[in-house]
Amino acid sequence: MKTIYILITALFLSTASSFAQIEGIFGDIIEEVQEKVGDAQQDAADTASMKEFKNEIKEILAGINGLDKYSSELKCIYLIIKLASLDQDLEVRAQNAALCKEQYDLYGMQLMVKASYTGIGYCYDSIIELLEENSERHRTPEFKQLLNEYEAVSNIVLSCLSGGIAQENLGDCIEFKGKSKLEIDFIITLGSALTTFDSFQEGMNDPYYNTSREVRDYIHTLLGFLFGHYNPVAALAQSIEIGANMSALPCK
Amino acid sequence: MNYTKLNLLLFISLAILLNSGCGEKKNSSAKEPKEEPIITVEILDKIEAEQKPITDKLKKITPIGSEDMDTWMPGKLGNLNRVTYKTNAIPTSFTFVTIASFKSLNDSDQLDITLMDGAGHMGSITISPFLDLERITRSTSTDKGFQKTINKNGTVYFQKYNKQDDTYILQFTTNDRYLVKIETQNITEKSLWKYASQFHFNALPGI
Repeated sequence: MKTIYILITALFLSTASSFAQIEGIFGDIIEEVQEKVGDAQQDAADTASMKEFKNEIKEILAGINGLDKYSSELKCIYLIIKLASLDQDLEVRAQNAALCKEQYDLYGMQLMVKASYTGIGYCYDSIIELLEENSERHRTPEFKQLLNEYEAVSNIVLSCLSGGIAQENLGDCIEFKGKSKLEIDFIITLGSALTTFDSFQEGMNDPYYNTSREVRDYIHTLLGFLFGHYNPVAALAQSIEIGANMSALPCK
Repeated sequence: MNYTKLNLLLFISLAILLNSGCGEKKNSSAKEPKEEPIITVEILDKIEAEQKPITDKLKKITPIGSEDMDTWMPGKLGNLNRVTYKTNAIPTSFTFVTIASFKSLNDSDQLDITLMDGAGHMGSITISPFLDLERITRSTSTDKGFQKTINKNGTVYFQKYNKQDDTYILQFTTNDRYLVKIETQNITEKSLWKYASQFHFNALPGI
């Protein structure tokens, strides 16, 4: 067990300055970590809620490639937002679970989400490279294109909200007529990441201010946060902790 | 006959000249004076740097939990009853947002509150510019309504009124941590402030 902690600490130190090193060291420690968390993960995988959850993940992964008109980078951002928000939700629910068995299942689901980051490991290379190359003051044409594409998708959600549709009823917006269930979820997930920021824009009241630039800056910051916090390396470290928590539960 | 034709030609030419002259004058008077934006990248950078001691603390704090919010959020505001309430309303924004709506019995008066906890990474980034509301808002007053900032008991409020819809918006930060927006419909300015004072923001955990 000590070896894993040493490797992960070393990994964190090395990746603090560069995300690009994730791939190499990652492969060396994954097997050892899987051994530690694997049993608990397998036990939790048999519950009904886990099966439902796994099917949902499978459906998303199977359908995502069909969304041809969006770039592969944007599809990756969608997958990461989807997993990260689930991850965050499960963490809070596991912490607040009143029953031991419920907490055990939620930890198991969290492990599945953590494992899913490795399944979309290919997503990290190109976007992390873009994030490393770009700053708010200097952006490459490639990164500008990605920000513009993201902004265009989020504008659909923002126009639905400004048209009087409530956040929880976004799926009913006329803009989504004729779109598949997955594409609607794709647009709402990406766009909703910006709705908190947008709902308070009233207070930044200056008609001469370029809000589009502010939106792109916010997307840039969001991507930095997502890829910095929700990546396979961080997931591995957290998986060990969750595995230990599960083993300590009396109802395991 | 020739003189008549010449006079007519001169008259038409004069009319054209006068008309085009008036047109130019009209166009130039239609141009509005170009105003400079009050929000610039430099201003936002300056606010970010000044508010860093607060946002650094916020980054390290865990957002308020749903249970604490359930305890804090009132179920009634005077004669308005809470009709909708949701914590963590926008999970994919990675900020803890609570939304609640209050209505009178006959549905005519309405108050909505949106409260974002600035704790956590994205929360601290989102709240940053609003920690200096006075600097990023412009006061205006037209036939359609008004907007202004008000300094009341040490808190800066941004207030906006839309005459056509009879709607008020009150936006502010509190406890150096929460970003609040209160929107009302069919409620007087006096009642807006009365209802706003019934939310006990000081009872919420600070930084």
